[in-house]
Amino acid sequence: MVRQIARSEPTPAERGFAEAYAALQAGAGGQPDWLRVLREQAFERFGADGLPDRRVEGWRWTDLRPLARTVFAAAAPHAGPVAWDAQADAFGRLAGWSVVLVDGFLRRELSRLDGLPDGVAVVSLRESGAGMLDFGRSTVGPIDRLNAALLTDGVVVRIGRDARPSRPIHIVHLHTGHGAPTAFHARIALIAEPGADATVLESHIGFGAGVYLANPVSHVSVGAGAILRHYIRQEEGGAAFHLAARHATVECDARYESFLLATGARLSRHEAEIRLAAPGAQIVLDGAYLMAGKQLFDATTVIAHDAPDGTSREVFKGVVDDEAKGVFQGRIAVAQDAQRIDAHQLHRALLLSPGAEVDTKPELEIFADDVKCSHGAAIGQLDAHALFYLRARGIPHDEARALLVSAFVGEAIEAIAHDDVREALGVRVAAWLAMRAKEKAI
Amino acid sequence: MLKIENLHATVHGTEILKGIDLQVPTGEVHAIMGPNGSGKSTLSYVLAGRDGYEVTEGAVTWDGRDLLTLSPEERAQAGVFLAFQYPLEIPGVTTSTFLRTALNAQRRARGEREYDAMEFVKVARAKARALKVDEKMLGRAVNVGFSGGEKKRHEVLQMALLEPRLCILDETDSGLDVDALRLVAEGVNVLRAPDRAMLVITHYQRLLDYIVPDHVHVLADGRIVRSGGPDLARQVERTGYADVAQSAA
Repeated sequence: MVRQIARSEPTPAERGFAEAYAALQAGAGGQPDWLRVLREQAFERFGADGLPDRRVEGWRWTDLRPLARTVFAAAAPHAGPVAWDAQADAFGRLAGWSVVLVDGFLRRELSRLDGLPDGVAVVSLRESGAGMLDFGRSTVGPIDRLNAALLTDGVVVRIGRDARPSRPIHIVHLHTGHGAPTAFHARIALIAEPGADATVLESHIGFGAGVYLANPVSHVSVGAGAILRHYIRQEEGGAAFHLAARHATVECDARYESFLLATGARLSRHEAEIRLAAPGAQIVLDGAYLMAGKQLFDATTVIAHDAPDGTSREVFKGVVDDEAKGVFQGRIAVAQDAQRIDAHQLHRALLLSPGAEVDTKPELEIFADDVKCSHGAAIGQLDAHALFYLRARGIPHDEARALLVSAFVGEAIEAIAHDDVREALGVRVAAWLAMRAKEKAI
Repeated sequence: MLKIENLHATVHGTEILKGIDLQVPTGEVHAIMGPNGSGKSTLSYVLAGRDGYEVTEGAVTWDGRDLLTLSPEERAQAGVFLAFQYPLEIPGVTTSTFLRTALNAQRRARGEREYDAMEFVKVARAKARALKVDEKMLGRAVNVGFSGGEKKRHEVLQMALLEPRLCILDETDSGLDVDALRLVAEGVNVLRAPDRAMLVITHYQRLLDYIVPDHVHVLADGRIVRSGGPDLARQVERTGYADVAQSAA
C-alpha cells in the first residue's frame, strides 16, 4: 500500500530507535558484516515508514500511540542474578534442555544445554553466521524491520535429520524491565531437518511493573517428513509492549503444530506467517488469549497454502474482560496450484464486560478451484441459561462464571496434542481465572 | 413446608401467575397438572429464582424462610432443587467436575468439609450405580450428546447426590419413552422421604402412574382451579383440562 500521507515528525520512540541504531553501527567492533548489512537495510526501510499508525492497513485496530510516545533505550547485556526457577516454571519443569535469554541476550550459565542428544545443536545467532537464515521474508513488516535494524543477539536451535529429542527444548525470554524503558530485539530460529521429531517450548516472561518493549522475531523451518510441536506462552509484564513475528516454512509431508497462550503485556501483537511450501504439509496454528484491565492483544496471521494436498487448522479463542481489547486478523491464501487443500479457521471470543471489545477480520484468498476452506468468527457473552443452571445447583455466581469461562478456553487447550503441555497450559488458565476472581472480590 | 401465598408473577411484562395458593408439607408429593400455557414452568422458574421472572405480589416461604429474596444459589443451598425440563448442555465442563463443584459449594455453604476428588468419585459412583446410570456419564461434558432419557436421569442423579429437601420436577416426563420414564420414576421414588417435599409438574397423567402423588392440583390460566387426591389426575386424563377446570368454576 502506498502511503498517501506525508510523514510527520518522528515520534519519541522512533527517535530513540534511531539513536540506538546509530550507536550500534558506530560502536561495537567485531560484529559480523552480515549483521551490519542486515541492520542497515532494515533500518533504511523502517526509517522510511516508521511505526505504523492506524491509517496503515492491518493496524486499524491496534493503536501504537502509547508505544510511540515512549523512548526506549537499547538493551545492554547484564550478568546480574535473575529470579527465575526452571523447576517452578510451568514449561521449565517439562523441558529437558533450556536456552535462556535475559533482556534479549543469551545467558549460557542460566541455560541447560549439557547432554543435548546427537544431531541437536543450540548456537547463538552471532556464531551461526548469516547463511543459516533467510532474512528475506522476515524484513517485510514493521515488526520484522524493527527487529532486524536493532538486532543484537539470538539463538539457533537445530534439530538434525531424523533426530528425536526425548524431552522438550525450552527457549526462555526473561525481561527484567527495571529502570528506564528498554527495548529487546532477539531473533530465534527453529530448524527441524527432514525426519526430525521434536517439541519446542517458548516462554516470554516479564518481571515487575517496568515499561519495556519485547520485539522477538522467530524463523521456523520444518523439513520434509519432520514433526515440530511449538508451544508459546506470552506472560510479559503488565506495563510491557510485545511485538512479535513468526515466520514458518513447512515442507513436504511435514507437520508443524503450534499453540500460543497470551495473558501478558499492556499491548501485544503476534504476527504469524505460516507457509505450507510443499505437497502434503500439515499445520495447526492455535491459540488463546485472556485479557483484562486495559490490555490489548492482536493476532495477525497468514496461512499460505503454496502447494497441493496440505491441511491447515487455525482455532483462536479469546476471553476479554474490563476494558480490554482483542484483535484477530486471519488471512488464508491458497495459491493457484494448491489443489485439494483443506483449510479451517475459527475465531471465537467471549466478552465478559460491556467495556470489552473484540475486532475480527477473516480473509480468504483462493486461487485454486478444488479446495475445502471454512472459516468462522463468533463474538458473544456468557450463556445466561447455562449460568442459571449452574447457580440453580448451588454454585455461586462468580464460581459458575469462572467454570464457564474455563470451559470456553478449555476447548482450545484440549486440542493440544502434547499431554504435559496441555496440562501445564490448563493450569495457567486456571491461575489466570483465580487471579481475576480475587481481583473482583477486592 | 413450602408455602405459596397469592403468588403473582410476570414474564416480560405479561402476567402469567395470577394468585397461586399452595402448601406442600415435607414428606408429601404434590403434583401440579395443567395444559400448555397454564403457568407450570413459570411457577418452577419463579421458585428457582430465574432472571426475568418477576414476582409482583404474594409470598413464598420454605421452612419459614422467605425464598423470594434469595439468589438461585442460595435457594439451592437452602435445599431447593429444580429438575429442568430442558437440562442445559455445557461443553467443556465434565459432568464429574460439574457435580463436584455443586456438591462442594453446597457443603461449604452448610459449613461442611469439601470432598476431595477421590472421595467425590466414590460417592458419585455409588449413587450412579444405585440409579443404574452408566458411570461413563461422569466423564462426558455436561449433557452434551446425551439422549433425552440420559439428560433426565442425569437430573435425578444430581438430585440423589445433592440430597435437596424440596424437589421440583418440571415436566420430567417430556420426551421420554415408557422405559426411560420408568427408570426416572424409580429414581425419584427412591428419594421420597419423610423429611423431603416434592412438587411434580406435568402435562400428562402418565408420569403419575409411576410417581403416585399424595395430592393433585390443576393449574389453569395462572391459578390452581382444583385440588384433590390421585384420582383427580385420572379424571383429567379421561375428560380433559377444559372439563375439569369448568366443573370447578
